[in-house]
Amino acid sequence: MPAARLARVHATELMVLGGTTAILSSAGVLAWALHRSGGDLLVTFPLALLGLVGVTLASLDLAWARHHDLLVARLRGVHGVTALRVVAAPAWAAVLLGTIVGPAAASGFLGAAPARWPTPDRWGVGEGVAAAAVGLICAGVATGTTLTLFRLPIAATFVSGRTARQPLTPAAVARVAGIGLVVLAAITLYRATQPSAASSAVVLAGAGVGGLTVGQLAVWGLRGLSRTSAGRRTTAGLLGVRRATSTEHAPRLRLAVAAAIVGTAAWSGAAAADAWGHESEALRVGAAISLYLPETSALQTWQLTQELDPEGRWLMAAAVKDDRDESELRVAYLDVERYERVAGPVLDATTGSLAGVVEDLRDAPGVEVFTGARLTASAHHRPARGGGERARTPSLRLSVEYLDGSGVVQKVELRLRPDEPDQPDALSGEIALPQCEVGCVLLGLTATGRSRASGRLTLDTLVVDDTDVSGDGWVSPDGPADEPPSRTLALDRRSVPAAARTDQPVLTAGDPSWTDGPARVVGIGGGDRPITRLGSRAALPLVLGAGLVGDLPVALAGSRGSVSGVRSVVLARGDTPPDLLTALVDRGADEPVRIDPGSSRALGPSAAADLHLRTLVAVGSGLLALAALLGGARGRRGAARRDAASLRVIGIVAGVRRRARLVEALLLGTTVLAATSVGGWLTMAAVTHRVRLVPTGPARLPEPDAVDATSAVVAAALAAVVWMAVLLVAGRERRVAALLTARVTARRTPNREPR
Amino acid sequence: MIEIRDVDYRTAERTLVSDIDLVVRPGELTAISGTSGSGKTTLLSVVGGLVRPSTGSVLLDGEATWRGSGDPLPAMSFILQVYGLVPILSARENVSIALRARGVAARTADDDAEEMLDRLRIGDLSSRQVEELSGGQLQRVACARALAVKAPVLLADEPTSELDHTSRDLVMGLLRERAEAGATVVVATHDDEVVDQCDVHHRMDEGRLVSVSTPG
Ligand SMILES: Nc1ncnc2c1ncn2[C@@H]1O[C@H](COP(=O)(O)OP(=O)(O)O)[C@@H](O)[C@H]1O
Ligand SMILES: [Mg+2]
Repeated sequence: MPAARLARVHATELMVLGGTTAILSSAGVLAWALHRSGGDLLVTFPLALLGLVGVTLASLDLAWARHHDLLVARLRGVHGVTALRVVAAPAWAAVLLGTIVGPAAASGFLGAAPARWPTPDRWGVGEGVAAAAVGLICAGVATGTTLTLFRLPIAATFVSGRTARQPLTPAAVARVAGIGLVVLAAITLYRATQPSAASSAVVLAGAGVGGLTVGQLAVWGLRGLSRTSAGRRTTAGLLGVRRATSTEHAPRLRLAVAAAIVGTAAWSGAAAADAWGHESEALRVGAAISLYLPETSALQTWQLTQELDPEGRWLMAAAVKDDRDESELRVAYLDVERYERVAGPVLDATTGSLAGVVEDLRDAPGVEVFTGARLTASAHHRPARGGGERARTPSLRLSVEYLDGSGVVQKVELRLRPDEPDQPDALSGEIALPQCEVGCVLLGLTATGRSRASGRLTLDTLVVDDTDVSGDGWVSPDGPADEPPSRTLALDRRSVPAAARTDQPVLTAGDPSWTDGPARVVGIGGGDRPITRLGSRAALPLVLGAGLVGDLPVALAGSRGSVSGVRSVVLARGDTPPDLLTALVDRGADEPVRIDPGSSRALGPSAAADLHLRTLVAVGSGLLALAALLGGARGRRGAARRDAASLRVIGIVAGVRRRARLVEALLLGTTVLAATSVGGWLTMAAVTHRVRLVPTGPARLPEPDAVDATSAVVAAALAAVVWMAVLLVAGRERRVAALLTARVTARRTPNREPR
Repeated sequence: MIEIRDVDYRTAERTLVSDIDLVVRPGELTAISGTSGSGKTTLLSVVGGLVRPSTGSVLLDGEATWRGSGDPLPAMSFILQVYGLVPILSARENVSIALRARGVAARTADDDAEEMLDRLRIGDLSSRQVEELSGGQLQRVACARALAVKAPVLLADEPTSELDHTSRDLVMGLLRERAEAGATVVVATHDDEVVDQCDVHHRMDEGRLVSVSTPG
């Protein structure tokens, strides 16, 4: 047959074979590029497996469509190289075209793709070799299948009166292949239960085997169904069931189910890794923008945000200590009062969201910052009942510790004396307070002096300029957790503001373990503080998978200056005015870090490349299945006309014929739906969930769960609907012209569509 | 009774059948013979109402067999030259659906089909897919399908072309049975021995009827 005519007559089959090759060669090129960026080629194994099946099917379709030509060639006695050329040249041409179109499409895609695709800028020899290898394999498969058909006994391809296409693979071969698949699937399943499964190539490639096995089981199941109770069916039911279960559909059913399962597994793996990467990035940055302030104390940072953004519209201070891996030693303190406005837009969608716990986190006294130049104190002395010793005048020296505006711990000492000689029990004193123009925090005080035996000294006021800073009272820095605050001064012992010793409410992530003593948190100043655990989360802002999160002002109350390892950070909304950011940089902040809109920064190069490989597998298997299903449409159109013609002659009316098509499509669609959703879920739950999708580590987010029943059902529904559409549209009863009926019923042209 | 009045059948290029004027009576076996390509199949298609005559008309008991769509009248049954079996069905099912299409209950249809296949000596093949049958076996399934429905009209196009003598006589016997039951039976054939077993014989040549005789 001349080439032009051949191309016209077999356009569909040639296009499907070329298209399948193009899908695979473009996938090969992209896969190699991603491999160079650190991806694992084994991830694409399921697609390669589907590709082999798809190419075999496409070349069988072409070979079958040409079987009259092949027969003629045989009858003419061609052999040797000529035979090979005659037999395989059209397939080769289609494959060659596909091998050229595929990489071109791939390069076009990369040109238009978002820059986030982690592929090398320039293509190397490797990509070319990959495309050529795919092309060669496809050509080999196509040649092999065509030759198989060519060498079948003539009787098998051309028996008078045969009206249906024969399955090409001998039944025994098909059965052995089916059983082999089941055995392979069993091995994969076993391997997936082993502890080393995450690094196993068998498991990584498992979706392909799983998909094809489920496809094979669906074929067997449908065949079994057809054996039972044919007698009681209606005419349409009988026809529909027999058509649905005919060998004609088996390879497409197998491929469609396998592709949907491979696609689902790959897609949900990619989606899980992507979500993990996004969430890690969001939690790591903490908001749309973060600015670290390496030289600034936590208190100063907090004050800076209060100063630059008094209404809390853009900025939020935080301090984080994440230089250790142990949960109990990792802490992030955030100014949660501003959480909702500043961090909420980024974090609310993550597991580390603080929405709903903000008030609980703040449910403890926060830091009191005071400014002023003079410190005044007053106290009184109450003698013990019945005590003597009236003669001695009490004297009191108060050493007051505070954190000054530059983060330095200062100490002043003031003497309290009786205000009036005749009132020796009322004392007061005053002293200048240096470095408190900006804002100081009271840390502790120590009283020394004399009191009369068994009397008590009570601190009445502690005033900076006009503000009383004595708060709720005082406790000893290392007293029991339930020690009530008081204003009574214990002589020669340091007391701290009660706020510094109240339980700090925290959320935990990971598995903090306090081996000695009660649960506590590392304060900004280094000391410990008892905690109330509000709950635990899979991950938390800034500390991610391991650590504690609490309120910054609460943590700052009574906390000494930041110890090393505590990093100050300002979180900012994405729409923060630039001059505000500039102001922060001017005041010592590093350059702003913006959240990465993609997931690759958190995933790292190799997991990011794997993610894209999985996307490639998902899209590739979808396209392969589509090509295969569409490829069946044409042959079906011819068969549908012949069937309609035969049936109308024996009095089966159009309504019954339509119902039969519907039964057929529904049965196949339901089988695809059931097999794919159940099989897809099982494949994910039993095998592919063991695959490592993301980098792991103690302080990272927990590994994502890639078992996604919803996406299995969606893929199943998609596959079922596409196939049913192809079946119904291609098999639709066009008005069978009367002339056509006569010709179909009169001519013995079983395999060629009448024109 | 089938009345064929002044029937021509033409395609765009050629006239395939012309000037056919003929009455076929029930209760008789009517043979139409002629060389290959003489127009037998075309004539049967026109008579059966599968195609519309270009001129003239075909009436079955006064009703036109062409119904406007190409769907034959329910009274018609066919043995097609190329069998027109449904490949994905078994032999029994091929016969059975023709019965079911005429409203016979599934179980009864299966039993009747089985019985007719038995009478054609292919009862043992009844569960086989027709794809797996030989030409002669296929032809007998096609005969069984047309005979089983017991329609008032039976148009048989070369029903014995692939059959050995024994099977041929078997089929002719069954056709005779139908005729005796009052059916109108037309057999297109190029086999003289088949012609000899018929009651009326029309010969065609190049699309025209050339002679009428009463063999035997
Ligand atoms: N659709 C058609 N278009 C043109 N010519 C046709 C068509 N169908 C049949 N013919 C021609 O009509 C003639 C009669 O064909 P047919 O009725 O099949 O003959 P028979 O059945 O007697 O062998 C033949 O010459 C054949 O080539
Ligand atoms: Mg003929």
